[in-house]
Amino acid sequence: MPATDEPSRSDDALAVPALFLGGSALFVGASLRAMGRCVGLLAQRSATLAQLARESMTDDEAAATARRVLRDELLGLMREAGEIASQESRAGVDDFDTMTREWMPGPDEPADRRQQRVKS
Amino acid sequence: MSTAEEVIVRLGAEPDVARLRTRLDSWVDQVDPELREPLCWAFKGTQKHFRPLTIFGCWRATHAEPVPDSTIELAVVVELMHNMSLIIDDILDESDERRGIATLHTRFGTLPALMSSGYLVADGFDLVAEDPFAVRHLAELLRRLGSAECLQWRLRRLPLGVEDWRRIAGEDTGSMFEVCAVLGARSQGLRQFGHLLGVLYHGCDDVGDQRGLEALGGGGEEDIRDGILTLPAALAIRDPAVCELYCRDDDDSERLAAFAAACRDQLEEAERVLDGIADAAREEAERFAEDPEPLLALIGHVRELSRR
Repeated sequence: MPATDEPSRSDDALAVPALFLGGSALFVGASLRAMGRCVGLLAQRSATLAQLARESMTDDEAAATARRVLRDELLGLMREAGEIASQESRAGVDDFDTMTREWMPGPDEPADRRQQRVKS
Repeated sequence: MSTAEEVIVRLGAEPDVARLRTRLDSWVDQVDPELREPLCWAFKGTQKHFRPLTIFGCWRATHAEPVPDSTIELAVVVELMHNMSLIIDDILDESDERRGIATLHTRFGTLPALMSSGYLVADGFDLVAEDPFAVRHLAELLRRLGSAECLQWRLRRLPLGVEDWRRIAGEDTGSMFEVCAVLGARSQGLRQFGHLLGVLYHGCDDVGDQRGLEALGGGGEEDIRDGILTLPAALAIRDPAVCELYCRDDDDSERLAAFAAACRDQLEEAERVLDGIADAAREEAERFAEDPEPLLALIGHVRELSRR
């Protein structure tokens, strides 16, 4: 008779679909969070950007300064959007790691810490 | 107690820094006799040990155990690499003084200075030869530092902006603190925190230097003379008239003084930019560290540097 704490064959069969389902849910969640934050960022900056764009298109002396500030603001917006995507993606990876840790612990790995992933 | 010592006490890192200093002393004792004097000189003066403090902070933020000997060894190696970069910087900038004493090349000549910098790198890699994780990240650091120095020089006196400054700061000081964060945490989890801490450090140093100039009554210092894109300069050159002053390549003292004054006018705006970077670093610490407190203390300390 098999030991009671060993996973049954049916548990093993369910683990793989659950991995895919859990991973997909986390991926979708991270993407939605990133998208929501990027939209929020754009909404927050849009008034300033529109104002700078208007000032950049005038003929007075302030237009040159406004163009430089606009360039900085646009570059900053793109950088921050990239950082948000990276942050949410890393958070998603951490969540997936935490979620799956108890499913497949290594032989000597403590369950509460991620192992180094170093190629030797 | 000096400011550097106060910071070490405030961060609760005295035992770890004491271990670091003991290990650095024993390292200096065993270097080649031909280069012992210049290498001893390289570690003289008041050292802030801020890079080792970052390593220790990142270890404490991700591990419950005390800082192990292997992490002290990594901090020693980062100090060796950092001092190598200072020797090269001083030669390039033709600086006569660092940390209140003569620079290595001024005291011993360019040849011993260059050979000492090579010795520091070689011994640094030797000390971590059994740790492929450290070797890979230290190699990344040296590649990025070399490229950043060339990038910063290539982009001087060009009509660029704050985002260009961020790129330079991110590759220069940012790469150093990124690697410290990775080595301290022994994972990539705090890499972006390290990057932001480095950019913050670079920016606070830019603003602090400018405030130093202000306290001394203004004037052209090295960055202004060389047309380096500092944070106040990046903000000041949004004005086309100031940009024209910045882009000219001459030693006209009136032009340099006028440009320095324009940079001083931007200090409050620069502080706002730095506040934004500090906020982003705090968010990273709070989201990705198991215990963010040591990291928040590091940010708080760095943020104060611009107000010195």
